[in-house]
Amino acid sequence: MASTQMEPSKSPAMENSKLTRRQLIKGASALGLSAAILGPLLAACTRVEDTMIVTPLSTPPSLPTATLFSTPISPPSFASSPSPTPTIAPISKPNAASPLQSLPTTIPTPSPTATPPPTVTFNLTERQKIAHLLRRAGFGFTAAELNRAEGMGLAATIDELINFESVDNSDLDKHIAAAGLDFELPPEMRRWWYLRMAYTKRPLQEKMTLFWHGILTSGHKKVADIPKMSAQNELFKQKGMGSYQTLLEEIGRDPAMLIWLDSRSNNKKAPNENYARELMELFTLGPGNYTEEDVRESARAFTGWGLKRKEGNPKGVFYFRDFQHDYGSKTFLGETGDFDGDDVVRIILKQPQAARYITTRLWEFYAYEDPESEVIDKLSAVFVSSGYAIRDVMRALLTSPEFYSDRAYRTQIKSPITLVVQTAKALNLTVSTKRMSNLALRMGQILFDPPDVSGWPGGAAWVNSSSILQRVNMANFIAKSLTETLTRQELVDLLLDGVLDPAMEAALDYFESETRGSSRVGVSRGLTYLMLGGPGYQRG
Amino acid sequence: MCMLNRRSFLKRSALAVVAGAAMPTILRRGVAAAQNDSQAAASNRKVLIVVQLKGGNDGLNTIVPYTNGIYYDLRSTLAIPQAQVLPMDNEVGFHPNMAAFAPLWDEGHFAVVEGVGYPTPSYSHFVSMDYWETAVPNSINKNTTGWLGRYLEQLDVATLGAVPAMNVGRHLPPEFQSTRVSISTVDSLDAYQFQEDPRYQGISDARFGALHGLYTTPSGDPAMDQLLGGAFQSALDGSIAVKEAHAAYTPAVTYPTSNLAQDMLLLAEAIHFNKDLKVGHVALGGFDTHANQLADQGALLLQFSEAVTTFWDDIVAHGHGDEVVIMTWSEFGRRPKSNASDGTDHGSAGPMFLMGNSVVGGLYGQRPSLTNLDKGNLKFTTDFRSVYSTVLEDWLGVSAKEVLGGSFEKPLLIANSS
Repeated sequence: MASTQMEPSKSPAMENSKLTRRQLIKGASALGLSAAILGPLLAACTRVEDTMIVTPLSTPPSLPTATLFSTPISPPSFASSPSPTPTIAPISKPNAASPLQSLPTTIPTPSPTATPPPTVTFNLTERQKIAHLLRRAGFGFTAAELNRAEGMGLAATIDELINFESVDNSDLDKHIAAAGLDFELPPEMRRWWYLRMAYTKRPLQEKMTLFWHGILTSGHKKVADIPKMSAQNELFKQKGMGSYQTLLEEIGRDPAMLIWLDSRSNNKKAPNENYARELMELFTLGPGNYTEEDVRESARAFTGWGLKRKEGNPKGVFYFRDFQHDYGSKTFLGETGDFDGDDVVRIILKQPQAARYITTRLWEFYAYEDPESEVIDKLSAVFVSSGYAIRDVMRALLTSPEFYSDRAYRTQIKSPITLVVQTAKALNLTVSTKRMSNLALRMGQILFDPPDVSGWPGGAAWVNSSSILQRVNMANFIAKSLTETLTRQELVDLLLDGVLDPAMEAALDYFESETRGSSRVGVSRGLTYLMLGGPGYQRG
Repeated sequence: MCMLNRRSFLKRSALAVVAGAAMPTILRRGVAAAQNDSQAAASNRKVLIVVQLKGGNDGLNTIVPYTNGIYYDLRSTLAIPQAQVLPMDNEVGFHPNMAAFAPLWDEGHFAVVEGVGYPTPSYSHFVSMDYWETAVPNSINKNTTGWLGRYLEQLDVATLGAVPAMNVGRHLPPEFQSTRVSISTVDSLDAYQFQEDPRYQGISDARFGALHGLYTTPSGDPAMDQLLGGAFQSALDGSIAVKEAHAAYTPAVTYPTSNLAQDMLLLAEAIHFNKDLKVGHVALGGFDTHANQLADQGALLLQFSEAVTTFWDDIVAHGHGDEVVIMTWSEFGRRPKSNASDGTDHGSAGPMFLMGNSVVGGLYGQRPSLTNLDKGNLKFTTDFRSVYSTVLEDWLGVSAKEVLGGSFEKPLLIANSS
């Protein structure tokens, strides 16, 4: 540091002493839920043996022999297995009496539906379609839930998913009450949501909440206020299937969002553009469909939308700070006037791109990436003509033939959360919600803490060497937790829709032949590991 | 818990050679890696370490124009007081929390390129990051590969070695996105190991062997096979390499406990033991300082400078000082005029740093004007692809044109280019 310091042409501002980091205000117990122990989950479930504490073993933990890679996995036998179609393998036992159907069900036998199912032009069986539907529009199924839905038929299952208000969900409330969660702790807030996802009878409501949590997202890391994060979740739960316009109007006033995207400090004198920008880029239009000028002008329209402190609610509730609002004229997306935030939403929704943007996001979340433009044409037409009714567009989505096509069926990389919850449900496991949360975290997803304002990127972004290793380790954790000995066929039915592709068949054959004479439990656990840890199960 | 180690790995490799055509990919690469080890021809290798500052680091409060009154006008409550700035020359100096960089700067191994950006800047984190990561500005295309992925593709993919590049973090940075090369991303050492069923160890071999077979058997969907199979293979190779490196490594200096420093320790270990390593990547988030900037950015710059210099001292002590160049980037700088929340909004141009024995220290590029602004934001003066070009051609020794799809004027800040 040899150079000498010169006088500045003007004197620098005085040191600012008030700039210490704001104290995180502890979340109030506004939800009225207290106590600290998570109660028993599904009473009827298989109990899970807690094998997480791995004690030192007498044998060395490394793979001792050379047999692992040299001869046994003879790639010839794997690779040369015929792979008839690159897409959906032929269904091996389409409607044969599977072990699943011998399990107790609430509705007796599947009779073909009373109402005809939506026309689909692809080759899934009814059972596969329903399994696919329950995975995408919910969090998978227990054997009993799948059998029940198959008994109802596809159309009735869609109806029940969409019109969930009529479904009795009181069991879930009992689970939550029994859990006795302490809402002052962020981990318990996550466990609360895992309970909901695992035990709800209104799965689409929760899945839609998860969708909006990834779009109109906020993160606890910055918001640092549990009641506000929970209130935002409640907003998605209550309004997530209603009017998109209403949802946008309310998210702009949502206290967690006001903190997350800095609206609370968006003032007339120095507008903070964060919310206005993300409203267009991430919530409604997508990049390239507005100008920087539109960002600046709409930020002015949102000035004054802030928070007011209130007793028992330290960071406050929504409050329009009139004196901070810019009442001047703004020009936004070609219109001029003294606009406020609701006007901005209204003008955005006039853009044809708005319907295309959000229906594309919905399709990518529920079905597959890069949808055909005809699919989006159709969905956005439904969306616009319904006056932005999300429920209508979801019905159109879930009844689209493309939703049941080979582009959709078992093609989507499962998010860590859906992977964890689906697996626990399928195997009817009592995995503690704390464990679920930790497993998902290691695979790269933390509820209420998205990586950034664009939520979770999803799809291929879930896969990297670290996350795939964690997925395989999750398979190990689940497998070694099993005490019940499930047969190979039972596992295939539960985990792979009854379909064995040639590679998996070869792998299972190889494993069984190598372990002939070994403990049945050990082999069953090994088969579970292979099915859960293999590449096929990572897609759902 | 940790199933694999070098010895069993090499033993299997040797046997696999006998097995000939049936040898899975990992073993072919394992043998190649072992041969490289024995040759120990590492003296002229070139490693690039990329440090990403996520969220848009405020360049003006990082390299502070401490003799420019306009800066103090624009930053009323946020300006770094002149007396605290660590002068680099008569006009700019380091943020006081970056004192750890002073020795490198004084030794002439710390370069700053000022005013780095690109035409028609995006003020969106994600769009701008995408531009930097793909090195294709002004076209949002999900399917564009990352520039570091394309660099690795320039090399002979078949001889890249087991772990040619390593990211420390939970998510793979898009810079490494490639259709042909799969990159290890290591969350933490302990978590980065395959576990087994302790009660049934006798069938672990059969179990893992079958799983490995599943990930190496074509499914009919090549893109999916590359994605999942590549990630699995990379996890297998990387989990062995990282564990063994960590067990064998003794840091020459004490690393801070910060996440970034601990992440960089894993990179130091990889540099020391993995002669195939070409690129390392770490990231530090939190630079999106719309509010409360002084405290937040100050803490981050402290963590950043201490972690990087500790890492640097360590690799120099291990004899790798001539083999490594460190480059930092952030998706944009921040707006010169502060907002009313004691923060700054998204801006455009910002500084990049390069460090290394081969780096000719000093200030590069034209300093953007604080008065001639573009709608309140700095006008960039150096395209970030110029800096990439220097790194690619003068350090890594590949054609920048092949990687970047165009030619860019290079700041000549690497000495002894080969």
